[in-house]
Amino acid sequence: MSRLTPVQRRTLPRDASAVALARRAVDAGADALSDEQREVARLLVSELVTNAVRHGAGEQVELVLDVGERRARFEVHDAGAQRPLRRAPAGAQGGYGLNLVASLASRWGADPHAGVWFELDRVASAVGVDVGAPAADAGRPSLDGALAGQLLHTVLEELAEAVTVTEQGGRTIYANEAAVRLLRLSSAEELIESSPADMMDRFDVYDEDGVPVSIERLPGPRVRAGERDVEPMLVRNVVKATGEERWLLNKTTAIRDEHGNVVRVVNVIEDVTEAKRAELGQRLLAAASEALAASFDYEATLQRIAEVAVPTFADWCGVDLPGPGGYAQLVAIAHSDPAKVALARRMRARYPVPLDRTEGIATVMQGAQSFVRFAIDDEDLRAYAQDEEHFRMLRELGMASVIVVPLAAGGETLGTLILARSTSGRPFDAADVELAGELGRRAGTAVLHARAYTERAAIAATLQRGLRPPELLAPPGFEIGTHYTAAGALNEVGGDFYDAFATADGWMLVIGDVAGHGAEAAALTALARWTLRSTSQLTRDPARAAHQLNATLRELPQLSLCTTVCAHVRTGGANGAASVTLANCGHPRPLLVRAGEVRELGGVGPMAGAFDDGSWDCTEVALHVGDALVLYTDGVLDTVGEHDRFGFTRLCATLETAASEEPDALVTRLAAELEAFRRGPQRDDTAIAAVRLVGGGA
Amino acid sequence: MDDFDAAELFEMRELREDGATVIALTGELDYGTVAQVQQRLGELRDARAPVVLDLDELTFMDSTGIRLVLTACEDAREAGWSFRVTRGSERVQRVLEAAQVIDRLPYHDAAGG
Repeated sequence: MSRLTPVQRRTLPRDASAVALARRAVDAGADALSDEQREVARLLVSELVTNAVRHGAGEQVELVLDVGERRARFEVHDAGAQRPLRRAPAGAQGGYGLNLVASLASRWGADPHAGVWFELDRVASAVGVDVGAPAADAGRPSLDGALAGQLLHTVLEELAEAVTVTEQGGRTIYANEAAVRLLRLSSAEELIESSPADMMDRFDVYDEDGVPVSIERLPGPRVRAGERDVEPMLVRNVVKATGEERWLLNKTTAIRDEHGNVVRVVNVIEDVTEAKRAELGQRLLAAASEALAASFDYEATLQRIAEVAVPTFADWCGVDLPGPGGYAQLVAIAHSDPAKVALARRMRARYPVPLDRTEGIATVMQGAQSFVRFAIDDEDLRAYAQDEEHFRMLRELGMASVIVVPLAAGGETLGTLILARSTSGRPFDAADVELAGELGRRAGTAVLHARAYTERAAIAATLQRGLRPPELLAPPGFEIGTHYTAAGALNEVGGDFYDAFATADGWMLVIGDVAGHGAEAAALTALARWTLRSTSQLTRDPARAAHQLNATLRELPQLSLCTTVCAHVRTGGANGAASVTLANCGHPRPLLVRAGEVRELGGVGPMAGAFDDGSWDCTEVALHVGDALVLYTDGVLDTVGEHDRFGFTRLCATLETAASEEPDALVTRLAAELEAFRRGPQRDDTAIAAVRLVGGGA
Repeated sequence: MDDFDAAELFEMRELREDGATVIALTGELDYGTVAQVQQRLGELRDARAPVVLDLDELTFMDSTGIRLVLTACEDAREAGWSFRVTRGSERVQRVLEAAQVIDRLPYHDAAGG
């Protein structure tokens, strides 16, 4: 038992001699301290007194020594304000004194009543053991004996990491402050009196894969069992009493006796919750961004949003949009138990959520930043449920902890994201709400993009339908077949066109090809088609139509070229024959398929849009019953195969083979041949229109 | 015991060694004893006389000593003056280590020193 020294006060002159006098006072008054601890005390008292002499006020400096059994306390008072940090010299060489105090004292501080003070915990009286002095580095003085113990003890108590020391039998003989806090104890003694199994019983412990960890798998027991090189182990630790979740990194070092037997085990438990959460959060958000960027499809995007959070972040996740009739509409859901997806849909169909409810999804839909219930018990569920069946369904779905956040974009709430954990062991917390909010914002942006894209795609599809050559109706006495493909996978429209329409004394079939591809070319084809249609209907003269098309294209600011064939068909000839008047503006010549033979018809005039002046001669052809007229664009001839283009010979051969087929079948066969022939992507738009005179028409 | 003489606690001696002035300190270096060392170092600095400050016989040193040494180091850097220190007694080394300056000083025995 060390002698208890009464509190001692020494008054010193506030001048340069005070520093040495104060050390003498420590030597005399703190002789109960060990030599090494006294060395620390002398040093730190010197620092504080120097500070008071240099920066303080008044005539005197008072030193107070209070050496107790567990700790020694030293105070230095002067007449100045007690603000040691502000008084520390600002120069490059300043601050060392107070740094020494801060690093060597167990505690220190300053206040008007106590002056500037520090305390040294006395090692012998602390809960703990000599865990061994650190080995001396070569060439460095070693911190031996009690000074080392003092420093070590100070370090351990100040350490953010929890440190415990257990004996071979498993009994804990030391726990620092951080360990007491981490293990949710009131004191180190509580831990020391508990068995490892008792302690373990306070927590649910899982590994990174979510598998429950038994006590034997933890590094401490493994090292005690004799294993060497035990890797640090990261576990998810849930405090049973509160449901609080932490990620703890357990590192263990064995202290062995001279025979190599483990006598003690030092456990360092680092709380890495924040880092682990941040990592998991970043991983989740990265996965979300990736998943959400993967599709512009609105509905697929909504489903992805639900899936991305399950099961790592939530056990299930639903996406709601404002639905018809003032109810929330569950548009996507993912559940870690896929069997429960149907349950969720059934439940929401049977118990729809009105958007004017004052809790849950509805409040967020109305603009709340979040709706959070960290812990939901059966009583809460029963209060929320509309009836017993609803309660049963909610319970089966799993609603132990819930976060609802908006799918937000540009300040607008597009819908809601509901995240739920099914079991009470893993409730959400404030950090999770933050993460959910960010997930909601990313998802909201993705939804907005997907929605805009879907809308644009719908507009484009509508436009394309307008620009795309129509399904042609066969004029009376004729059968008709058409085929059209545009180059480019996403394109439905291109530069090729065909059209068929009635005139005053017959009908007109046209096919054409404007220079260029894609949307711009499609716009030009619309102009060409309507020019040809209106002129033909007025004049019934293919040559005049060609002339007008040329003039119209020449009026455009940019060079716009078009090849076309206009065929004006009039029925009523002898034996049901028809006559065809053809005008050709630089286009592949139409083909007549008669009795299994193919021949080209008419002459070829200049391409429309190329010259200001042009004239187009018409060709008259008689069409017999059974004859077919085939119009096509150069995409047919230019289809590229393995060695060459499809070309005219193959075209003729195909038509001859299929000569007896109906126009629809004929065109389909030709298109199939082209597809079979083609190697690589389609380079040019392709249009084919075939009509056969079958007779019997008006 | 309040009437002690500072000279009992601290002594500064000067000797020549290999063209340098060695200032050997004995006893306790603190705020009460540092002034004479500061003054002498200033003179030698102004004369650009190479100095070795010998800390090996000090029985006490606190941050006042650290400040003295670091200030001289800075003067040396700025003025192109040769200033070095010895490793110091164990107590001195413990203080230098605790203040985390032990690796930053120009030691007399170091290579090129």
